[in-house]
Amino acid sequence: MHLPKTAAARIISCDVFDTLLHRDHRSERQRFNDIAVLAARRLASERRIERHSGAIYDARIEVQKQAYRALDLSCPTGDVRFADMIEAMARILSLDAPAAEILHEAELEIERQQLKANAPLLAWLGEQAQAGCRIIAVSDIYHRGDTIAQLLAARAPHHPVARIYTSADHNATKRTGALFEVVLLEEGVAPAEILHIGDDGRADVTMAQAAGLRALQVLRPGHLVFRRRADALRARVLHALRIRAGHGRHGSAPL
Amino acid sequence: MSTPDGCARDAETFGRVALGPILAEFCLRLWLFERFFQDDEAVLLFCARGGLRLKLAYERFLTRTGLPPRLPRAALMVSRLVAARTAFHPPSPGVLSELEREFSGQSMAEIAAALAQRDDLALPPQWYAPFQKAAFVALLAGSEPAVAILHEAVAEQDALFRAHLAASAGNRHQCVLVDTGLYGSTVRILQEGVPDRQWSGLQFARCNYKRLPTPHFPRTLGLSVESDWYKPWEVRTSALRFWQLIEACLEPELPSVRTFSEGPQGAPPRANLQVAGWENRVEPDQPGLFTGVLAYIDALTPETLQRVPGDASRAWHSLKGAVVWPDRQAVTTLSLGGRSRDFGRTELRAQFAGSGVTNPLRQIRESLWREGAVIRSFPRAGRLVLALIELIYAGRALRMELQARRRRVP
Repeated sequence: MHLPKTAAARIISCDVFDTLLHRDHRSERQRFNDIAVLAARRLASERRIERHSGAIYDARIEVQKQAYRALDLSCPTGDVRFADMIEAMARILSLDAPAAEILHEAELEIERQQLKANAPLLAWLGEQAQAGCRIIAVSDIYHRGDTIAQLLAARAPHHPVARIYTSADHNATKRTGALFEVVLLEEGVAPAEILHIGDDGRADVTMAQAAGLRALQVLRPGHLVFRRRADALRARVLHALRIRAGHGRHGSAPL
Repeated sequence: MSTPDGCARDAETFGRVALGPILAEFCLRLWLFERFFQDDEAVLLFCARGGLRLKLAYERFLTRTGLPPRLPRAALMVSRLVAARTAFHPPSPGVLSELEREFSGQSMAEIAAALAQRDDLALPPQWYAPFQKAAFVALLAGSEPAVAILHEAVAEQDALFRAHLAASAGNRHQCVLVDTGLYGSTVRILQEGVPDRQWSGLQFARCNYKRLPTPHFPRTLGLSVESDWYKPWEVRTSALRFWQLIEACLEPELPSVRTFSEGPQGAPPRANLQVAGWENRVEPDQPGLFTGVLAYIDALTPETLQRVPGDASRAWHSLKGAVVWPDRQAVTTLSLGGRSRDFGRTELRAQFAGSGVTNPLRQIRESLWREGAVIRSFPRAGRLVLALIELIYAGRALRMELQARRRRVP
């Protein structure tokens, strides 16, 4: 990661996931699996509700997939809210509100466990903040800003982020450029006065530049990207085997 | 051998055990879709005929499971024929593609008769040549009296459909068509013919089996199946191997929509499908595949909703077993009547090629359900032939996948 000595900007805008907070080698599917296992355990121990972790995992994948497909057709510049996904998951898993809260907490718990602060970037941002720069976080994510604030506080307690913009809060995404418009309006500065830092080529570089911001891409190492892809494949295969095993246990439906 | 009554009961059992969970899963996905659809100006329009049963199943599903609907629902009396009339002056690319495929080798006069639903047009001799896009467009621009009558008949029917659409969708500009599948011609053509509304399609299955351009696919989703060919390693695509089974389950014993007439006393226009008591005929009165589907859905509760994904996952394997690897019992149970060729025509196509075809291989090739025809023709060696067919399909699917992948990579 190569950071300039000074940002030469009034505002530094930073992406959150894989920029301010690093995810490890685990894929999104593996993370969903970890969340499902934790949620199933807590539902059983705290509420005496038996739900197979595979069913929770399936519900998570299904809800997220359909939610984003619906969004693409109805509001392509917007985003889905995590609370809505949890509410839908709870309904299709036949869970009440306290049980839904466990799903919510399990997700955040796993996020906290698997995220790590990007120490060099945070140290640099701290220096820039001391030099008078305003630091903001801008994320395409279904979580609300206060959830991101909790995660940042847990993994980087002394972070210099003054305000958090998420696509879920503003129903506008970076990848379509709509969230940058919100940021510019709310911050009240000229686009060229913002330096945006992130890992995603489209959302953090192309669209930021299209909105007139200066952009700096911070990439994760190539081997990590490869390990994540391998982990995603592994999670898929394991899940498929688990489904097949489930069929073996239940037998085929008679004709 | 099952008796006719026993066969109906077997079909109902298959409907309850296999198609019931599969359609309940479709309903669940449809609910998720409307739950997250961020446009309050949208309406779900369930298309005749298959959509009418999907509407019934979905409404029962919502009632039993307590899932709250978010968007208004209505039945839309539409067919490819009706949609084609909306984009006829001049014929849109979607209409021409559809006509070229549906009326391959047939005369342009036959197309005119289907669109106008009249056989007394007395069109000039050029109309009796086989269909060709450019020639058809040129003939439509002619000034002969018969051509004028054709335009007039199409326009009159189109105006009646548009009035029906206005009554069904109201002022809601975002029309989400819910239908069985596969290519989604109706979505494509209505987007061309009625561009002042935004059209999307939510289908049970989406498949470009016609190999036509797909400008509407970004807005047409297959909620249960989305593939352009059968892939032996994707269990859901087995529905494409015997699509007529899904259609037979979902299409009520009502005629395809061809014409509209003025409604009584200022009521919206009525389609030929809307015969007296048509609403009651959407639900069958005899046991069969769809009564089995409803039996499964009727047994759901908010507490048992969680079982649907697991039941559906097993049901897809049961469907594949019955369709791709049928035994004699499955062939008897899943025997259907003739299937309509549609697009304004009345002739039927038999599920199994008729007795006039003596060559068993030809009989298999010309049947709507080839695996079933194999077991009928070769009761003993059939399983071996099925394995061979599966192998051929696997090879074909791999080739198609590789070609598609090559096209995607620049």
